[in-house]
Amino acid sequence: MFKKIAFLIGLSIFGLWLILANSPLQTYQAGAAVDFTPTPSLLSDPVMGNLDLEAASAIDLSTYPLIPSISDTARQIYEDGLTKGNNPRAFVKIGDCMTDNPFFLIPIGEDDYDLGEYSSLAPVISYFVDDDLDSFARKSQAAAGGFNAASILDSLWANPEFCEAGETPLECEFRAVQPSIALIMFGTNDVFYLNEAQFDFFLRSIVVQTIRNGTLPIMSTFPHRPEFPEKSVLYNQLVALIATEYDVPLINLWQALSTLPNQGIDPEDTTHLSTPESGAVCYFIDENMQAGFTVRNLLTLQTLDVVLQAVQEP
Amino acid sequence: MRRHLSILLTLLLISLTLSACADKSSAPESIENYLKTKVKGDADKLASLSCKEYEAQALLDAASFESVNARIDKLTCKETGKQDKFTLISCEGTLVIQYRGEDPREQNLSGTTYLAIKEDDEWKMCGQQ
Repeated sequence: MFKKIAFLIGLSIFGLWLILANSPLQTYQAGAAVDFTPTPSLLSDPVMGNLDLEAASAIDLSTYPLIPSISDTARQIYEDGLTKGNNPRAFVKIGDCMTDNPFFLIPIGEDDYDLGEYSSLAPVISYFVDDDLDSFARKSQAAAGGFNAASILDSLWANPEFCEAGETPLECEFRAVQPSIALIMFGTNDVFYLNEAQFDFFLRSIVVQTIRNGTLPIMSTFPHRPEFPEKSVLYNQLVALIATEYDVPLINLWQALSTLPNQGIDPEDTTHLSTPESGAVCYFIDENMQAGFTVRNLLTLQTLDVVLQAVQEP
Repeated sequence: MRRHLSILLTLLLISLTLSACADKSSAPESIENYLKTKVKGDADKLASLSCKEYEAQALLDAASFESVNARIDKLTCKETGKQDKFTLISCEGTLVIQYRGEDPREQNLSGTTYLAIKEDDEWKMCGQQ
């Protein structure tokens, strides 16, 4: 009897090893900087100063699609999260004032939207809004005006009204929501306050912690900062490099905004996206599609749709 | 004359000893200094207030409040216990954050426990939990 049990345990371990040894996380190829290990929970910690500026500078942002396709790695991260108990019908927002903003997704949660020709996105909205949780409108502990990529990793920023002792804002949000998806965008403040190595390190740290949580990071390039044109490009290249290296989805907002008036930025406040005159940032009709927030909201919905389709495929 | 000189020297020695003591922060004060410096984003000073093990983390800590003007009002820290070689410190206060001309927002400090350690005869910040 004991021998039988030992044999079965041994067989299970061997089977598990076979699965992990052939996992997409291990066979990932783009970029050599990340030392992937077979399970997301064992991803190595980023190291400050390991920045590969040459690789980042070589990235051509215009070659990245506006809406990402979903890789096997991404699907595996998502599925890993479900086994950990993450909520498939919950996403969280992570970022600065571009993200913690009444114009970003909140109107969708408040039923103040018109999908126009994008009516096929309706199931995405109903999927992420239910009686218990409205992911679109929920106030995130991991997004706030004044955040840079370092802030959400610092427990001093955590609000004790919502967060437990010692938690960082990111850990707090993950515990509170157990999301299957995290929308991540930083860069707007970072180009001014963090150097390249810091930005690379903190953004990687966020991505690693997100993957370890079993939450699929959906990264985004950030809008142009006209005061820092060269750094805007370089930091966006870093965002794209990190998304590529970890093989996670990237919304190419920077590219999508490039053809809009004023590159989709509020000319009076370059740390915010522009809005239509009517303020109807979730009415996806022609006259509104020249505003930055409208475009970001639509791209985000479309990306959530792509993710749902990918993870629900048999 | 010799007696006066020895009294003078003794007094000088005592005052030097007292002033040296006065410059040394207690464990809770060292954490208060650390937190106040951190929200100002002064990386070099933050490293000097940290134990050797924590210096690298201190440099990272300095980045987190770079994008805002912040201060901590009514900051008081107190010793709450010991853990191995560390003295445990908890703090209360109100974090006041101002970002780009917006109205300041306030929140209480979270219940983080800080680890202080005496290094080179001075109390230093050495971690948190």
